[in-house]
Amino acid sequence: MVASRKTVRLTGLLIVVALFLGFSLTGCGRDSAAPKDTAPQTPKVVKIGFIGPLTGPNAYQGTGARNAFNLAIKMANESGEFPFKIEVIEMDDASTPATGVSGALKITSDPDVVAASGHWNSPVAEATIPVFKQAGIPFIIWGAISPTLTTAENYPIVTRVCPTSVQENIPLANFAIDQMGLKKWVIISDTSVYGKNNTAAWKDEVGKRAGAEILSVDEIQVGQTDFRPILTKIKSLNPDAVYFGGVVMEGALIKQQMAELGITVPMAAISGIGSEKYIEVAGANAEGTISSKPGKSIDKLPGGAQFVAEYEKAGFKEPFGVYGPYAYDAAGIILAALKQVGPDKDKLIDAISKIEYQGLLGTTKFNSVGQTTNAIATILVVQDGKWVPWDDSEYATGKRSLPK
Amino acid sequence: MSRLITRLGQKREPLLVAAINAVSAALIYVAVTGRFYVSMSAVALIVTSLIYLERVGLVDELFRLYSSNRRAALLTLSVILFLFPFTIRKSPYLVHIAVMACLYAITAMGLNFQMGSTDMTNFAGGAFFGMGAYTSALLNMKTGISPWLGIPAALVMTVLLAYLIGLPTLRTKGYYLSLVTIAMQTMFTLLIINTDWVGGPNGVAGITPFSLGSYSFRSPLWLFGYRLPYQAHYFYLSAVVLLCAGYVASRLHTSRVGLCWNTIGEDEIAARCQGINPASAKLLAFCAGGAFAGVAGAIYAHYISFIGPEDFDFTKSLMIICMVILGGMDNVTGVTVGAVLLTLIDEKLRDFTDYRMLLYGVILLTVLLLRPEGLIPKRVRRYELLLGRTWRTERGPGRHETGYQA
Amino acid sequence: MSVFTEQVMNALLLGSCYTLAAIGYSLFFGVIDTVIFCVGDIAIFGAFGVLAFYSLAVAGGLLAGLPMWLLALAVVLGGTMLCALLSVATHRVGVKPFEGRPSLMPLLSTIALGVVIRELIGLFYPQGRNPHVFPRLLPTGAVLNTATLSYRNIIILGVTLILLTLLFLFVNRTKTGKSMQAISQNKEAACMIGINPGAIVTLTFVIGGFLLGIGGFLIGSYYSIVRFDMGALYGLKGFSAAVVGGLGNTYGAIVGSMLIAFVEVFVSGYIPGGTAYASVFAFLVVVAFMIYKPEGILGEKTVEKV
Repeated sequence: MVASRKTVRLTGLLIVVALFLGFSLTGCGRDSAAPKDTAPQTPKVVKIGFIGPLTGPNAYQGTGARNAFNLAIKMANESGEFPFKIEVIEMDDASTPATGVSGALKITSDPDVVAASGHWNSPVAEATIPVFKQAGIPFIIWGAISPTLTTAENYPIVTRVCPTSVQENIPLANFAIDQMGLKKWVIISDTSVYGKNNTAAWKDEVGKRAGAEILSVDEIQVGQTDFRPILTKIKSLNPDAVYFGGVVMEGALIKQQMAELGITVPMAAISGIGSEKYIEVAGANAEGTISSKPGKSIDKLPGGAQFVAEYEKAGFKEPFGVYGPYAYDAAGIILAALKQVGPDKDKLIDAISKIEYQGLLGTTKFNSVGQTTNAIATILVVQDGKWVPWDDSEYATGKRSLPK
Repeated sequence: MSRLITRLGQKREPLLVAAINAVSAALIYVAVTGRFYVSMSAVALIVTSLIYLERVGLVDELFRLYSSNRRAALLTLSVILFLFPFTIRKSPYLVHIAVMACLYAITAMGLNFQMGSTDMTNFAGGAFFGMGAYTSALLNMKTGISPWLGIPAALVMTVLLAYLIGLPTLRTKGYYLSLVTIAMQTMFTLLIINTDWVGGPNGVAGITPFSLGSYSFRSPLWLFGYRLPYQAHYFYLSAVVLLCAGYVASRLHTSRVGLCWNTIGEDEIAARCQGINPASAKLLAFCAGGAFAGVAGAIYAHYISFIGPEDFDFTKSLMIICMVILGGMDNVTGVTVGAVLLTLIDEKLRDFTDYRMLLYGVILLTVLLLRPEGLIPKRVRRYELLLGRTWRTERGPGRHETGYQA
Repeated sequence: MSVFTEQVMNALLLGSCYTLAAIGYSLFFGVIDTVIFCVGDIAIFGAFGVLAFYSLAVAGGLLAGLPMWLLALAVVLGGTMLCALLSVATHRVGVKPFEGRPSLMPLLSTIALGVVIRELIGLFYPQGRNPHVFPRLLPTGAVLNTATLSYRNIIILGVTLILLTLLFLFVNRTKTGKSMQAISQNKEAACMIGINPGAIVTLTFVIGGFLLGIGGFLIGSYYSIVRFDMGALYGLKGFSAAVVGGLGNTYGAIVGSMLIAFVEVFVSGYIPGGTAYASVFAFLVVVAFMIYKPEGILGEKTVEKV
């Protein structure tokens, strides 16, 4: 009796499973059959991949860049200059290579994808580049700065619109060491690839200059919040200035805790800290921080004010941050190439690598390994709670002077 | 069902096994290939039918059916695994999911020795997996050793690490053990980040793929005129390893060692009274688990060709723990099912990038609250005394059951 | 001040931040014999509560016109109350259903709850994934012209001390506190003499929630930012401190926190390039304790009964 009830139940279950399978398999069949019907010559939709840290510790870098990227694509769609609709496939890499690789595979598995842009984390880019190379999809890096990403082996598929850590540190060193005469440096960097590359680049720059020296190097964890122990130690070394090789949050906290401990020497860093968030967190203590920023400042570029206005109009939740303009230009470059040669991966690779693009960052051109040659930098300084180009600041005119 | 089986007669039992295998495979196929909602409803269907089957007591019957028809079960399973990449050959991404599911299943089986069998919560599963990956990758990069030799090397190194992590566990248990393993896991990640020789935060890039002679696993695979994406190589490799791992794990489970582990998990003092040496048994649980994770990690490194410290952090450990708990502790089949389901859910939730971690926490919480024993709970071991053949016909006499269950 | 005394001061401050989390672990463990792993996340939730109330007060003029110290008191009270609620909810959802189950389960369920709390803040607090500037509610001026000895730091140390004293008095001098002790010593016997364990456990979670809320507030003030995922590491350090000191022992929690904080500060301050390894050393201390003195500095050695 019991067994027969079991049989009934089993049969019931089997029927449910069979029905489900029947529905879903036929459904799937229809789905996969659909794209085959459309002729490949005139696609109605062209897809572009975007990949970056949308969740996790670096989410605020990725979301701003994604918004700017989407903004560029949206404006292109609205302009009516393209005979097809352009769609963005967004993928999260969560700052981890494994997640990045499956995201990249998902992008490259879609036959409509013709180009992609991605990554803020260099290790993730390192991991996904083989995927894009294998698929032959042109890939523009918008935020990862490790010098080893753009190489002869990765060219011409991989190009990069943002400068490498080496490129970014040269103008800062020219300014801070040569022009300002700050000779005794302490380095604080985070243990990420970004931080380590910056440490290496800065050591290199200091080493090239006679009389300049490095007193100490300290490495911090990203997400660390208490820097008082190292700063107490640094205070006793009496440096001329602090070089910080990291990003906004830790930079702002270090600057603030420096002030708390009575360390008044200036702090210098590359574009990683160049955001309003830095000033918000460090408060009044941010005054006098020096940072470099690739390209000219945003309000001095013809498209800059428009970009800011459009971005605000689009009503994004997150600010565009440091890397928004890079992602915006990466999208712009893909669009310009699409306009030139149409949605053909191979032609796009060629067109992108040869492009000379006038965008938000100025003129972007790629060198023989796909690295942007646009390394003109503006030196910024915090004055009264704003990032002001050095040349326009009261520091340059001698009205104020950096603390010693 | 037993009557059903009787009615079908012995000869048709293998057919039944094959049919069940085929239906399960079809369900998993839908779960892998379907769009989000289809896929999630397939997962939900799998989960509910497993719970349903367990409630009406059919899972035991299924286990009995499979163990008496091992050859048929294994044969159909192999055929299904062999054909699987063909059905999804259009999308390298789907094959990638399948590879990852296999690798995680191997790792979770390893963790199961500690968590399921011996009741030792190990939060360093990510470190084990990472140790395997780093060993093989670094050997390959620094000395140019073939990845095939990297696998045994990774195995040895991971077992050493597992031994090291296992040592403090001899004196601690419960929360203290959890804390030690959490501390070890955190230190593992920090040490990798801070050691330049192993690539630091840069990770190790450009790891050589497996190859046979001059044939690289990174080229597309041509089989019977079909072009399979290169991931298919790794799928076959990891599926074979998974089958071997499953075999070893279930043999260990039924052996004296498995019983010792269970006894220690139940009551260590009682185990000692029985003449079991808890120290060596616990270390064995760690080392065996480490070996599994090490092999999986080595394959992973050469498959992805890039590894970094972020891949092997605490989150990864938590994920592997979830697989074991979701599937069912101390049950090899359950753990495999858990790993496959969780890999699938994790990949499918990509469409909701922001909500992924949240849903992940919610899933773990729900499983713990509603079904703490997992989808396929641990079973009573059945030992058949010499007369493995007799019981099928006689049913009852000639069969001895040794029950052991929590 | 010499570098050394400044470093000692740094360590004391860091230690008192850890202490409140460690006490949270010990308090809960003492009463229900279970480790609540999301203690750090509860504390950070409290910090976000304070932040939210402050933003509301500033934006809505809700508490406008109040003097600064009263406003500060009001928002901190609001935040800690939210925290106490969450703490009780944690007990209901993550601990109570697992009574009498293997100890692994509440551990995992509270880890999962921690993830859920963290992600809920990240998703639903406006711009929750970005770090937020914590309102500067404590006065910043320096005493005696030494930067480290600011009013804020003195308040942090003072508040921690006062809270600990109050907790001590409560647990040892009041009837309710003694009931808590009775439950932690022998639940059945406590029931027999008329103690209602349910009520006492809830009360413990309310008190623990308050302590953690203030802990979150102090951390926010000390670091001057809060971020949704700060709770994970904070909780882990607090747990390590509680275990090193002796789980379930209040003094142990303080001693353990100070030990961990001193190790971290002195490794960063005196070993070249040591900052990156500060956490490694802290965990090495934990592992060493686990091997050689698993009961912790002040914990009682448990003999297993057969």
